[in-house]
Amino acid sequence: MENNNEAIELRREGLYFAPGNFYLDPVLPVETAVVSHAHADHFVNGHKTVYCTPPTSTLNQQRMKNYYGRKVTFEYHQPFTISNSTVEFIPAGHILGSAQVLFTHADKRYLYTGDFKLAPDKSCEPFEFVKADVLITETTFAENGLKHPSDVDEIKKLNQYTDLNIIIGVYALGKAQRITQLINEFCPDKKVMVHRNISSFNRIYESAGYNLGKWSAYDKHEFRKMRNIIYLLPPAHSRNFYPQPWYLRAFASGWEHLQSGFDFKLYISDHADWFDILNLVEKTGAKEIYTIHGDGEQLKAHLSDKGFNVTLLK
Amino acid sequence: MRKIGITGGIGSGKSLICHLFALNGIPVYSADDAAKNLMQHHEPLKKELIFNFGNIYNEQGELLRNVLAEKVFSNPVELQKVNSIVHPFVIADYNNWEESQKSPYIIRESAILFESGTNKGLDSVITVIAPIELRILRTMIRDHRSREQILSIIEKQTSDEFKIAKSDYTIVNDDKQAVLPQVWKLHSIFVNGKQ
Repeated sequence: MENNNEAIELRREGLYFAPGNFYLDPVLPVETAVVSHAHADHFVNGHKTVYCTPPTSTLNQQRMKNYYGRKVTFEYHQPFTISNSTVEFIPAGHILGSAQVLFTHADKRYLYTGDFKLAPDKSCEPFEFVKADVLITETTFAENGLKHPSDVDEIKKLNQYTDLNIIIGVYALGKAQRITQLINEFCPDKKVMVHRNISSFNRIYESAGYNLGKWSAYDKHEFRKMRNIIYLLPPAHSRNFYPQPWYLRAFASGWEHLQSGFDFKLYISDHADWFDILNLVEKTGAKEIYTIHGDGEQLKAHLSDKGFNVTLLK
Repeated sequence: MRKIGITGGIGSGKSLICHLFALNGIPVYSADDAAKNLMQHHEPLKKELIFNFGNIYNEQGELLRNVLAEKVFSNPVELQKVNSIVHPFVIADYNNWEESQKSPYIIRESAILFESGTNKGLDSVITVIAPIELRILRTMIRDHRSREQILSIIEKQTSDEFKIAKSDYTIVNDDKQAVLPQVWKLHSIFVNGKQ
C-alpha cells in the first residue's frame, strides 16, 4: 500500500516528519534529529541538534569520542515543542533511556516506537502504553506466531554448567546489563566478569540507579584458573575465543541464525515479538500503522483484513 | 557561558560527579589535577617551590610529594605558604582553559572553592556531600591512609554545613541515592538557563 500520509516520509537520511521538520533516528547527519535510544543503528554523530532523553545523551557521549552538535534532553512525559509539533518521550523498555516518541500535529497523535520490548527488564525503565492515531512500529521480530522464550528460563540454563566457565557474546550496551542483572538474580553461584567496553556502560547504569548485582572486570588469570565464571563480552571479541574443553560459548540473541556455531542456544531478545506487536497495536488503538526496521509483510497481511491501514516504510 | 563550581570534603565523591558531568559533554577543570600537573611541569612554579621549600624534586625533575607533605602537613603556616604560591598559577591556567571552551556551561572542581575565594567568579556552586563514615572508607581505599590521618584532614576542612549554606545546589553521593539523575536535573537547569 502506498504511503498516503504526507506527514511521514522515509528519506535517505531516515524517517522524516514534515510538520515538525525533524527526523526520527536518522542514519545520516541532519539538522534536527529525535533519537529514541543510544544504539549505533539509531544514532549517528553529526546532527546539528539532537533531542533525546538524558540517559540516551549520556550513553551517546560515552560511545562517541567527539559527540558533536547541540544536545537537548527531556525527561519522559515532559512535553516539548519542535517547530509546530508537540513531542513527548515515553519509556520503550528496550535499554536504559530508550523512548517511544509521541508527537502531535493537527490533533493527530503519532507514536514512533523505536526499538521496544514488553518483557520485564530490571535494568531499564518499563515499557508504557499510550494511545495514538498513527503507529510507526519496529518489526524486527514480526514473524507470525514468533514468541520469545522467557528470559528467566533461558538464563537458568547457565546453572547446569557448574564445572565450566561460559563465554557469552552480548551487545555492550543494554544486553550486557540485562544479562548481568539476570545472572545475579537467577544464577547466584556464578561470578560475572565483563569486557572493558561493557564496564563503562555498567557504571552509567549503576549511577542511574539500576542495581545490576555483582560484576568485575575480566581477569584473564582468574578466568583460566577458576570455574563457574561467566564472561560477557561484545560479539566481535567473543569470536577470538576458540573452543576449549574448560569453557562453553554462547551468544545472547533472539535470532536463530546467530545461535549457530556456539555450544548452546541462549535466546534473549531486547525486541518485541509477534504477540507484543499485536498487543501494542491493540493498546494504542491506532488504525493507521507504519512498519519500519525489519520485515512488516506478515503484520500487514495479518492486520489488513481487520480494518487496519498498514504501510511498510522501506 | 555559565561557570559552575563543584566542591565537597575529602571522600565526598567530587571527581565522580565531575566525571558524570563530563559524560554529558561538559568540560571540567579540576583545580587539584591542574595544581599537581603545574607543580610537576611548570618551570617558574617549580623554581618558586624550590626557593621556598628546598629540593623537593628528584634528579629526573619529578616532584617528591612525600618530602613536600612532610614539610607542610602538620604546619598550617607552611601549608598556607604552598597554597599561596601554587594558587596564582592555577588561576592563570584556569583562565587560559576557560577561554578555549565553547560549551553551554563549564565546571570547575575544587576542594577549597570557598576557602580560596574562587567561588566569587562563578555563577553557581554545587556541594557534594556524603556521610562521614563513607567518606573515610572511600579515602582509606583510594589513598591508603589511616582513619586518623583522614579524620585529621576532615577536621581541617570547612564543614558540609558551611559549604551547603554557601552553595546553590547539593548532590547527595551516599551510595544510596542515584547520582546520575541528580546530575541530569542540574544539567537541564544549567543548559536551559534557569536557576
